[in-house]
Amino acid sequence: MNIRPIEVIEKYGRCIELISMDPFFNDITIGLFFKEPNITVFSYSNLDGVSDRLNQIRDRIVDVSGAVSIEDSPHQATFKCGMKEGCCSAPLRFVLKEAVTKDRDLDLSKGIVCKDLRSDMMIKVNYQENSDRKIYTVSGDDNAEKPIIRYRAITNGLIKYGGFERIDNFSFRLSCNERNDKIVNLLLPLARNISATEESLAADDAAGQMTTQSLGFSAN
Amino acid sequence: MIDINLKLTKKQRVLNALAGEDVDKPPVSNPTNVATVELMDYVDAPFPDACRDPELNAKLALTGHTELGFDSIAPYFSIIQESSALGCEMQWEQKDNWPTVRMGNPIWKSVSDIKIPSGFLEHSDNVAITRSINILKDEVKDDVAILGKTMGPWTLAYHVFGVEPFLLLSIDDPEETKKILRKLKEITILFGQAQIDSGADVLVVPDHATGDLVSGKYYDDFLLEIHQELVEDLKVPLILHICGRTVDRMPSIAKTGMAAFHFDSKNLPSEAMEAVGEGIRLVGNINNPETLYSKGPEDVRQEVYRALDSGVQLIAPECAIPLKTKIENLLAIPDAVNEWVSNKFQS
Repeated sequence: MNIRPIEVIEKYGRCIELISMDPFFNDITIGLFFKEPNITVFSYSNLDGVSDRLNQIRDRIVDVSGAVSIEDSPHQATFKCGMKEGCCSAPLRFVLKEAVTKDRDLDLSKGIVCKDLRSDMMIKVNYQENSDRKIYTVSGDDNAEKPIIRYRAITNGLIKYGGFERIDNFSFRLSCNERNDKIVNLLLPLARNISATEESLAADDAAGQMTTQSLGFSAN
Repeated sequence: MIDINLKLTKKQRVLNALAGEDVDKPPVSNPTNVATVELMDYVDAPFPDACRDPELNAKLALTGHTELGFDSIAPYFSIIQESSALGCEMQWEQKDNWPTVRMGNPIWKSVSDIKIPSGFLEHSDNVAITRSINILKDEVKDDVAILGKTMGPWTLAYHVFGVEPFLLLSIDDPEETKKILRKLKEITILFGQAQIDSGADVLVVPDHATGDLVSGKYYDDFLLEIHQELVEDLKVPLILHICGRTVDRMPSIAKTGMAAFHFDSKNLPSEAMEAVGEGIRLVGNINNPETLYSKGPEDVRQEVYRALDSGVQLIAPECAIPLKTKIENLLAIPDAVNEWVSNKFQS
């Protein structure tokens, strides 16, 4: 028998995100737990190979989010800031989903860039240090009628999903004032279309809920 | 009344609360599912197999007692077993979603179509529940309350006739509708009695005359009498379950003679207690989509306290929990009850 749920919570802390079915490993459920300063990838499954798969997911989390792996602890990671009071935990929902359900490299060779979905613009996020502040600024190639509106909307999306601190309408920084291009790069495609991202989150949340609507016993 | 000096088993606690007798603490007793995708992995009993295989079903259901610390075990996770046995078209889904009946393709059109298939109780999807109850009874003996579940005639009518055709019929031909409900009640009794014979201590009767679709008057016109008859026919405590806003029909529900009403968080516990008076006990009310699914243990604790402070006799989630509910939130329910009792009676 596996470690009991109550012991898991004692050992690894609160569960901050669940992926109910891992498409790459026998549909097992993957949980991401947080107990300062570490996040832990965990599954209650006893199937052969689970530990290797959790290690693989931890490594993917490190790759896509800029987290740092914990030495001699193959299922754990943290962020440079030590995640004090939950710092850097806001985007972990997206990080775990990317790490478990996708199998793709996130390319940063051309910087933090992505095609806008509401215009023909290429959006980019530039990093700069200003005094001691590590600041990211959203801009683009201005190839749209009112590009500033798009930059502002995308900045809002990044702040919303990343839990970042706003500097102004187009700039933000991480709460811990660290540089983390990978996490900004991961969130940029989500931030460019907030309504689609919200719909996707709502669909994830609705799955597995038993309601009068889901049972078909509702007028809605 | 709460008497902390009583020494009760989990089963006694549940049965006493349902009977309105003294308990050492309010039981945490779930009339509907508390299994989650994590618990499915923990015992290697995933949906939909755990809904259809008695051994897997029992393994998963038992975690409500062994891992979550609840006072009861509810092995019928969904609401579709009898309808599958009746021949409804099913969508069994996968691990992280609920099996459902494809109500767009109903199997019956009129009361004359209603025929209980021979071998109904031997259908594998019904045996999954009755055999699971056997297994659980052997496992927990008389220590933990086993809650069976048998669908009421209104819910069965939705499944076999389709929601819209059945509701339209209830407007166009109330007498035909009543005949249908009486015939379907036989199925409720048949499957309920089979679960009692297998060892169920209590039966939950979901009958989805929900506030979303029908009025409180519908409950009086079509269901009150039938529910009273179920109490006569099924000789264990019955818990009626209806989702949604139901406070308008609670005074009628209190006249059914059922032991308890499993109620939704759309009704405030205080107004629900006032609506039912002394007529029936209340169970449930802990919100699923916002609290148990989305919030944390402290929010769960506050809702448990609100229900207890209002006098709700049995504590539970309002309905089958979302399958991705985090276990820490479920563990918070019995913890909160223990803390509430400790604060109130031992300080």
